Amino acid sequence: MTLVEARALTKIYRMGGEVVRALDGVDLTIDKGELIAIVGASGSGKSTLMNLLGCLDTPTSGSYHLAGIPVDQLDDEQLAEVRNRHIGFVFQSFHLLARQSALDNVVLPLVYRRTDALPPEERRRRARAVLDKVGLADRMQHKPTELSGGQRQRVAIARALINDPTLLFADEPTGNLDSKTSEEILALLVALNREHGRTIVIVTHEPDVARRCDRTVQLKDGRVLHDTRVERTAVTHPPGAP
Amino acid sequence: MWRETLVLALASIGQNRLRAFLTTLGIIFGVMAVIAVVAIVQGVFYVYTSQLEGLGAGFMFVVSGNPEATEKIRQSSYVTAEDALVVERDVDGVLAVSPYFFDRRMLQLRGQSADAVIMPTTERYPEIQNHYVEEGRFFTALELRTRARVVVLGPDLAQKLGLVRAVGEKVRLYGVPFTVIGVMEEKNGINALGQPFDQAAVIPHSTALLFSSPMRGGMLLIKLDNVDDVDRLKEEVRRAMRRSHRLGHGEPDDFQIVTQSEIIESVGKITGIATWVVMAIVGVALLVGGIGIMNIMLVSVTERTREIGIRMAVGARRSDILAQFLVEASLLGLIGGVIGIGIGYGVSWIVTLVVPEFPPPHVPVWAIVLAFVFSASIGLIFGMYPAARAARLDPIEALRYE
Repeated sequence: MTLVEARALTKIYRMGGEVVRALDGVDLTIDKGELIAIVGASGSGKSTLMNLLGCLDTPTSGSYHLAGIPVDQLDDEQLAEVRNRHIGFVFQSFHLLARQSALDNVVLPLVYRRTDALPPEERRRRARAVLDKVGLADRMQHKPTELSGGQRQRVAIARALINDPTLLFADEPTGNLDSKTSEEILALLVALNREHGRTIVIVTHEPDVARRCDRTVQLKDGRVLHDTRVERTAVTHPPGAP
Repeated sequence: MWRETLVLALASIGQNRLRAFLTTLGIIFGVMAVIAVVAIVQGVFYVYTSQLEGLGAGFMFVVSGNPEATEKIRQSSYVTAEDALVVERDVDGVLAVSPYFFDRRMLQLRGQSADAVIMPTTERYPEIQNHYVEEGRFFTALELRTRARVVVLGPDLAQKLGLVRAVGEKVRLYGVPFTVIGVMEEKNGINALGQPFDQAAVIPHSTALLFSSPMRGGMLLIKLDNVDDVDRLKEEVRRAMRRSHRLGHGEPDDFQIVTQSEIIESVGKITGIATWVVMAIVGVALLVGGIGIMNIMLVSVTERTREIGIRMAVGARRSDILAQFLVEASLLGLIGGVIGIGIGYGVSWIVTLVVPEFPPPHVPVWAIVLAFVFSASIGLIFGMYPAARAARLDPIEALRYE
């Protein structure tokens, strides 16, 4: 089943009179259950692509359908709704609300859910379940400052999962972590894909990270340079994965 | 959703209590000043009107002179005891009429003296003023007719003269001895004529005329039987007065008739004007307070740019962000208002305790409601710009903000 169908996606910025083609006619199709790495040097357009696919931004031209929704036609309020129901973000620097507990951070997307809004008790019940799934059952009431980098990223992953999103984006998810923790987080993401069928897009510049994915889309100067698929040989279970 | 927004705003204010307090100082002082002044002014008004109303059914006053008359009126046309008789006899719906005039004299007894408000009147006084004798008796119609030298003392006077058993004592008034025949019951405040009850020396009207003359012509206090048709009664009293003063056709009234409700109305007008003047001045203070809120909200939006970005990334709409900051700004205003109301009420109490002339403060419900609504609105209005700035942020830029 096709989840993402982008045609001739183009994003043009004007920076002080200079026209920058951050994305220049990208075609991309992503099927359900894929684990994709988007790679490229800085300035290649991978962040811009993620912002467009993640519905944080709209293209200058081109079309984008997410689960059949014509995202390029939506206004700001509708984009917010799509982000809320279909997208989960995991960021390099975690982006947790510093003053709120892990539990409250995870609940956040449910607070902004308008259609089928859940009562507060149900929200917290779901948040506890997801935190448990990422291995933080005993850290729910901790503030982000009381958690390690790896734990913070697990909270962020739990937050991204709480709305059961169509697409999970991870923007350099291991960029701020040491190698051991990186491996744990990566293993968690891979497990989510392998065992729960999550469709995950990882934006990274690390070849080690990209190698763990089924498919690598390499960007250069706003265009797709390579789109390579790797045959998955065996389901790996690295230590530390849930 | 609104519950979360409210909780969020409260938490945000709670995390920065000192800043929130300093921010709302302008509002606090503004509301405090309004409440304090309104409480004092309304306290005066409340006491005055409740005393006027406490006198019972309707009242009407006839006073000498007429500032509205363009032609010269006869100087000698006082309002007298005879007028009182005519009005009481001729006007249907009048319960009782008593003449008064004002005088202030020293009362003396064995070297003690007391400043007294002389209240020359008739035997109907207790009934009309709803003020009765505590000890002894009031003077009679006979004593009034015979110009008896008798006096009924207010309790303050009896105390100042050092009288334990006052009845039967002789006090000096107008240089001659008057027999004390009674002491009035204690009744704080002022009577229908604006005089303090407890400092009055009540004597027969006719007796007072032997020693003193009405400085400004005297007056009548008319107690009405029926308050439904005050306008008709006022007109009938006017006709009776004109007959009594033998005013010819075309001659202007040489007296004025004022009803109880007209007095309450004019007192209300004066206190109302005072209240609104203060409110206007304080409005400026509140405006300054509002700018304080706007300032701090702008700082808050900048500080929380990344938070806004995060919220947007997980699905907050621009309207959610707008609501969040608007609610926070309104709450800041409201909290300032609540503190201001509390302190203002306290200040008004202190003022009325320090200045004994002021009655206890009275804060009407409308003032509290107005203070609430106004302080919250100030927060809301001055929160609009910062909130709009927050809502307009680009989520990508906001997430990148360090």
